[in-house]
Amino acid sequence: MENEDLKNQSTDRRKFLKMGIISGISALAGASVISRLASAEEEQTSGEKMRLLTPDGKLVEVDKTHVYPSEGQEYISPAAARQGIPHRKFVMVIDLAKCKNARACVEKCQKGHNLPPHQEFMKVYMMQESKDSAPYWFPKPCFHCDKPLCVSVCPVGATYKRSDGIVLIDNERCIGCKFCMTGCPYSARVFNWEHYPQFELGKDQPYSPETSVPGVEGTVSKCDFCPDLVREGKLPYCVSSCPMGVIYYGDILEDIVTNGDETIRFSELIKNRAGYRHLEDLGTQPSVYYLPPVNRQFPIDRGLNDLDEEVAERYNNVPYMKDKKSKEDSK
Amino acid sequence: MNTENRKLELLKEFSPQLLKTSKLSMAWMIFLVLAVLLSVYALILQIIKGHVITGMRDNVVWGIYIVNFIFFMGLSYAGALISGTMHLFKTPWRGPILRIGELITIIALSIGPLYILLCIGRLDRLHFLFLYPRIQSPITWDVIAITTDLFGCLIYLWLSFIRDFALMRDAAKGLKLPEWRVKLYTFLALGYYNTPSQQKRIKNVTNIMSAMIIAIAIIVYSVLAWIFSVTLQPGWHSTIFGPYFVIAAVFSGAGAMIIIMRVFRRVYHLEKYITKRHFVGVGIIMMVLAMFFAYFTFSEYLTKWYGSKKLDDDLINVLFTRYFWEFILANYFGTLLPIIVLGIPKFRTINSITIAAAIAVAALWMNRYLIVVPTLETPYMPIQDTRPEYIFYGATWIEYVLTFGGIAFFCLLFTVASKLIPIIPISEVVDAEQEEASRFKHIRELADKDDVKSSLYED
Amino acid sequence: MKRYTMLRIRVIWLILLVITFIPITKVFAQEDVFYSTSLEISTLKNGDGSRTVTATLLASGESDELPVLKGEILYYTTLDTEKILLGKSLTNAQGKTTFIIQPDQKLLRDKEGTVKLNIVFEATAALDGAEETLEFKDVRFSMKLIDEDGVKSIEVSAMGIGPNNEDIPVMESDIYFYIQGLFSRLKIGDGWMDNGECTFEFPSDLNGDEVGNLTIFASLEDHSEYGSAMAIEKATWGTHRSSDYTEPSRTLWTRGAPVWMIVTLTILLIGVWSHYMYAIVQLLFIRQEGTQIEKKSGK
Repeated sequence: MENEDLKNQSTDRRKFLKMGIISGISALAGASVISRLASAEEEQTSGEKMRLLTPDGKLVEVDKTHVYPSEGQEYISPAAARQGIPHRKFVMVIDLAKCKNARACVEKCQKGHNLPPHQEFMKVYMMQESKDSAPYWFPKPCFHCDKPLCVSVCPVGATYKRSDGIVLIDNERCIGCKFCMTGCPYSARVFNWEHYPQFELGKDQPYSPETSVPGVEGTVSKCDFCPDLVREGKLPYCVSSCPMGVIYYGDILEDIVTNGDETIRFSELIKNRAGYRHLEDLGTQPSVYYLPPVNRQFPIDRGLNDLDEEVAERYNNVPYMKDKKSKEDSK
Repeated sequence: MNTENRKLELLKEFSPQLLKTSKLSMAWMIFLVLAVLLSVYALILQIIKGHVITGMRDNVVWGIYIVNFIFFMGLSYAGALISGTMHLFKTPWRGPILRIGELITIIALSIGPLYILLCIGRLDRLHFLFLYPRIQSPITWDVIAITTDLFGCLIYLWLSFIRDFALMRDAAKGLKLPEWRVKLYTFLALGYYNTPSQQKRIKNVTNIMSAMIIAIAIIVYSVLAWIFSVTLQPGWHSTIFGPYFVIAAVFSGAGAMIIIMRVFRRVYHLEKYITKRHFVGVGIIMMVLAMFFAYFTFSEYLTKWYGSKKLDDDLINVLFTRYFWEFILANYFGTLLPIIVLGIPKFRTINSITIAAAIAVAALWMNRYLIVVPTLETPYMPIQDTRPEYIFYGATWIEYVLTFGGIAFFCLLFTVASKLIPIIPISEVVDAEQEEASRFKHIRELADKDDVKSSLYED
Repeated sequence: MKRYTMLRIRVIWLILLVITFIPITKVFAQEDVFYSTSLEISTLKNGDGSRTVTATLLASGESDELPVLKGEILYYTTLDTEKILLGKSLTNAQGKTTFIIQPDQKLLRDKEGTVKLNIVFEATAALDGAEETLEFKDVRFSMKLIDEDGVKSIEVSAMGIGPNNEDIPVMESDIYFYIQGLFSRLKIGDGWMDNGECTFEFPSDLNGDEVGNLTIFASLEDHSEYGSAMAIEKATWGTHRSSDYTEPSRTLWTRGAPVWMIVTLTILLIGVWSHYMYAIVQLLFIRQEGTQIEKKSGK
């Protein structure tokens, strides 16, 4: 099943190209635009289909990424990716009061980075500090710490801290010693234990640490704060996909963050909502802030609806879930 | 010359081990080679299929490979530390067992680092460690430290072997050694002819190097400990890890030395040279180290348990539930047994000491496992996963084969080395005999003087 | 009805053509579903006197609505029977297109000063035509940045254009102020416009870029008579906090290592390796002596 889907996705581009050429032959209007879109190199297919019509009544089905082409997207080589975007310092604010574990961020991120189903750069935890404290949903990307221990311990400089605050991994440099994974107290990093079939999707595009695509076996990867999208003026996958606008992203230097709908001053948001950073006492100085889960918009159970069984079972060890289960059993 | 004759006499006595290979030992060596070949096969599989065929996953990123790494490096430093100390402090009975210590050092040191290579996902990029080094990374410290240590040990080993190489070279004709071996000994002997100035030089340098080796061993093993303790992981982030690892290393080394002494004593019939005195001597060292080790272990876990932070508490819970028997073996049996066996003189027999040593060595391996694996299984972020292999670590056959392959390789190298050079350092033994003789002479002289004095007092 | 049959024939002909050429691809014309088109229009008056017109061309069938790609949109200004073509543009893949009416292009006005803007998508062989008209009164909208002894304020002026091109002050309306962020505009406040004028005190704690540059927007939004208008100005009015953030140097996580680390490592390595060198030199001396002995005994 899964493999078939993949095949479809990867052949999509070729079909599209062919179509572009043939519509050129038949001299139909719109052909030039399509072939321009199709020939745009370094494009990846998202697998999401979109249909549109030409004035001749011709219906074309194209990949969504071709409909919204990246304007002036330049290739950022591994060497160039070591330089941060000048005069920026990126920051993320996650509003725990709004999260209902819709998992749109997880899925969009996986799609955007060609990740296998189990590998998640963004994870949603059910957090409950102790038995009697309240459980809440806790989306967790890489924290892009200002004192990143993972960067400190890297023996070859494969992972680095940029001037714009983003911590990236150069998968052409990484030797796969996994020291950074033990160094990170937030379990943000994942290892490519084998050559996942999903790596094939990005095979045609040149590797960039900014896109984390294509993945490389035997190396470490993680959430990259999507600097490739930022360069195009777009918000990271997790931010733009969240139906609740939970995740705000922006530049702390201009003091503005946005979740796509609403644009707020970072300092005011943190001040008014008592923003904090997770495990501040570890001294890693994360770039990700959380707004406490107070006056929540959804009961915690809302996040348990429509979950895959596999995902739902992840939370079985949380005291709240144990309690819930024992209550159900006694009924 | 009296000493030269004594040396030749000894050499003749040890010559069977150098010249003949019995069928049994041939079979032993073939078995070891096969075990090594099997682990090469496992390694090739791991390289082709990726680390997915090991039990390591995103939480427990290092498994028994790193445990073996710590273990072999521990043996290595211990050999250096024990033989260096015995040499430096002129322990009277050191002679016959010095070489075993030195061989442990060099052989374990050439195997240990192989295990850290097994943890590396991209072996094809290993040269990046030298192309793009970062001084801030403890792995870089380790690369530098292990290289330095390897060089130092090689020099020290050569220094302690050189006189026996010269002896072998000179006696080659009498022993009817094959031509290639004569050439090898001539090369390794480096033109040493036991002239007074050469004697003086070698003594001088050996003293310096034995002191160096002690210092380096401490630094290097601390560096290894810092790989773990610089991170924030609750089970690792500990200030005592440096000395704790050093003590554990020497403890395991002393244990390994006793086991190997026992084996060679039996196989090469060295009962006359490796005596109970040596077993008790090294055994006492082991006992003292066991006490230190127990002390460090106790203080490490007591503080974690008493003022328990949440994660420390979780870790202790895991250790005393899921890893209960492993914990008991590693930290109770492994330390108490050597203390009891050697602490009570009645229990001190060669066999009981060897058994205590073997259990201590196994316990120390387990101790490292308990340091590495349960810690990685209890990270700061709770593990919320449904894939069992991502939650709990279990080594796969690939990892076990490579572990036994390493032990087999260790035995193989030891066997081969004992075929090339007497396992008893002849020159050292003769030196020690003479030292002792002259000491007796000195004591007798003193006693004589005392006699005179006392006779004066009596008057 | 006749037109429809003609259309069908053409559509079928097209299908046959397409099928012959590209049997595998996903390009197909639909026989059963007929698409009618619709246009959406919006306009914004700019601070420089130009006007942006945005049009969206959508085709709707029985069950779906699709954007039309490369549809040609014509822009007219109309008054009674008079109709002047202002220009044309093509839609993009989202069915959208924008057209800018330059300040010197004359728009036709009726007695009340109302402008009628008419946009047309002409029917093609396959698609129905569409047309849409927007009525509004034109406005002159501008902003002025004032910095008096460090007190910064914005003066907005909005004058409706009467039938004879005379100024009619815009009365009682909200004016909103924004600054441009990396991804979106941040609202910094609003003001009340009366008699065509509005003054807004600019906040003094906005950061701006690395030198304090800010792009400031003032806008009139969905006014019942004048529609929307927006003026943009740039000013170095930010406090540029970027200078507060300096990249660390020689730390654990930078490329260069802390000095103490390099010093310590160097001392340790020199200390150890010098001893090694000494040992090797001694070994060389031993060898030298050995070769001399070998020479002598050989002779």
